[in-house]
Amino acid sequence: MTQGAGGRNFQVLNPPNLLKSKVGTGGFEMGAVKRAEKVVESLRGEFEEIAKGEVVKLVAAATALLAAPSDIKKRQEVYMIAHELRGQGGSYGYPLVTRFGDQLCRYLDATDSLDAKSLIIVKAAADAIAVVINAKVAGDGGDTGRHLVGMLDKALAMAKGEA
Amino acid sequence: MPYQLNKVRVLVLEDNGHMRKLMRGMLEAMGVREVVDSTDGAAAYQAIKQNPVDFALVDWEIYPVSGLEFMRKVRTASDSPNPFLPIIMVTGHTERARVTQARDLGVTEFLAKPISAQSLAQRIEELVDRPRPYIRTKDYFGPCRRRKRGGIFIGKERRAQA
Repeated sequence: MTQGAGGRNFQVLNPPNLLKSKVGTGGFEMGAVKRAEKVVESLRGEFEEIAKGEVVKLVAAATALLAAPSDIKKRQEVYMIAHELRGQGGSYGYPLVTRFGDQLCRYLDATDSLDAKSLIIVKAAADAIAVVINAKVAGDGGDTGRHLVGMLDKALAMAKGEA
Repeated sequence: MPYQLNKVRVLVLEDNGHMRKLMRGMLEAMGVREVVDSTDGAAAYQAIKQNPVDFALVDWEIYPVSGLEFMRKVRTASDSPNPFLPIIMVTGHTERARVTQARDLGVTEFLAKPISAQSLAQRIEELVDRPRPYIRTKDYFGPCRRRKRGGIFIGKERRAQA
């Protein structure tokens, strides 16, 4: 044991690097990452199909939340669908899905109780994700993407009292 | 000579079927010999006790036994098959408080979703080529939480507080 600056004890351990002893030291071979990228590309269609189903559930849950803002189950459903979509969209060339999903999750994280104004944001974010998926708005989405980004950013700024 | 990943076995703990398929596919394309996948932290723990793995990709939000709970058990349980197991936490939760929480339970590397082949490869390279020492204090066991960039320590001084 060693004594740290605060007088507390700690022990430093350097276990043998078993992983390195198995895989060696030369880094990834040239083709390894490219092959993995091809796997991602091959799963893009599957993601698009799954995401279409998920946005139907997302918009339905967000709409249901409008009618019952204190329904914790619906709120969690909205959060979890948005969370999964934000975690996957960017992998398949849909960074706007990740952006809007992230904005929705962070908004819900920061908002205790949902009022009429905040529900509009939840619905707007869900609708924006649905547009991106259903219209296959890939990459930055050009004019459509800019319009959606501007719309949601403005709604969030208004909710914060910044606009 | 490039990495010989055909000698390693990897655990993928992820409850989303599509994400599991993606991670398995990428690992196999990179040459990993065997991918063991699991949808629950408790089952994953039993799996690595029976068939040890060389590193793990672990999602945070899994029910009923989360990726965090799995990691805590690997690091501290008396029957852990390998407290030094390199663990990459794969998560969409990148908020500072969440990252700190996972780091305090002994995560080795973070891989933020959405993932890519490049980002996964970079984290594996970190595990292989830049392993961190392990620290044991009264209330922490896991990889050193200090991060050095260009020789300058970045982050909160923790060890003196432990």
